[in-house]
Amino acid sequence: MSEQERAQPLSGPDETAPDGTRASEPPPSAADGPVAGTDGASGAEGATAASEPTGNRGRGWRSQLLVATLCLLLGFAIVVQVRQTQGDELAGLRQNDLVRLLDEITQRNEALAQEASELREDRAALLSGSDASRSAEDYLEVQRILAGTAPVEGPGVVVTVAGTASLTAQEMVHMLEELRNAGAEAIELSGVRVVTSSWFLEQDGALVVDGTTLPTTHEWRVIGDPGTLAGALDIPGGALAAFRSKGAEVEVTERELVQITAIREVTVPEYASPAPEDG
Amino acid sequence: MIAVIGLAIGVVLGLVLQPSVPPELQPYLPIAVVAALDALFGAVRARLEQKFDDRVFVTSFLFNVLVAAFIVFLGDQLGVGAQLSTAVVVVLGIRIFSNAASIRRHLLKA
Repeated sequence: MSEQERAQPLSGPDETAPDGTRASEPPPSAADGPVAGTDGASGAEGATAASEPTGNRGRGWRSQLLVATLCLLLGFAIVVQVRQTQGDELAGLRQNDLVRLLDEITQRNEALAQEASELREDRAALLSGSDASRSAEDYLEVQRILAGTAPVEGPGVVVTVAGTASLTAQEMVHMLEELRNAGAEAIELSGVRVVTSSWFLEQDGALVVDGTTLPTTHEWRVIGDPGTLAGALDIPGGALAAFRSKGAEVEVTERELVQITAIREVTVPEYASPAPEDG
Repeated sequence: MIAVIGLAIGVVLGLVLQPSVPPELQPYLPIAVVAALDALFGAVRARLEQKFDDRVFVTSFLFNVLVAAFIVFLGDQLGVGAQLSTAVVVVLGIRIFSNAASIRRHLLKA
């Protein structure tokens, strides 16, 4: 507090008593001089002796109301500003800071975008890798079915042939080819899985398939489209017609589910080996 | 007393209404608040020194706020807005501290 202020005549208490009542007339000596000095010297804003005689209670109440209104505004502004600052930390920043922040965010964004694209590539590579392995598995499955190393099941026909004493190996091959033409995917003949390397032989009045002698009543279990298979077998002059003409009794049954459990051991090729892909 | 009530009502209003500051006012509001706080502290001090005057308070309040906002505005136009804002806050802060010291001496006699 400056000396000037201490020296200032205390006309205030008369002017504005703490309870808000006003003295009727301030001393005329309370002039502007000390007041201006106060304001400039140490910033005691609002501290003054009244520079002019103040009037009645109406003005006093108005002033009080004005003061209250200003305080209300201040409180309001403080709360608003605090909320603003808490709510959005960017709002309090200036343009330069915002530009710098934007730059940083942009750089970070680019870095992240790059990382994301790299990760996406990795993911695609991994996915295609698993695709490859899955298709390899599928391929293996197909190969096992074709090679007869896996038990299979599916729709198809069952052909029972009885009284086969006079059948020839030629007719058996004919039958087999006819089944294959009709789209047979897997064939079992009386417990022998018939594959591409299968052969028929007439030996001592009996039929031999792949080294196994067939019983007089043998059974073809064929997986494929049942309608197509049955239709192909029933063609006049076909394999079954030849069987019948040899006195065999033939019965064709279309089934929803034919199970072929016989499998074949695969022998490792002795001479053939896969050729290099790019020759 | 009525000032304190007004302040309280203002705070409550701000909390209840939850207004958002218009973007063009956002740089000025914090400075204006500090300036108004300075005026308020000066008023409290004057009250304790028993030389409070409504009129001076009102004018100084408004004038402080306007000048502070104007300085910030000017600073923004000149490209030194951040520095001038800091300057205003520092000056007003010093005044608030000195006023607070006076208030403390009056209240605590120490």
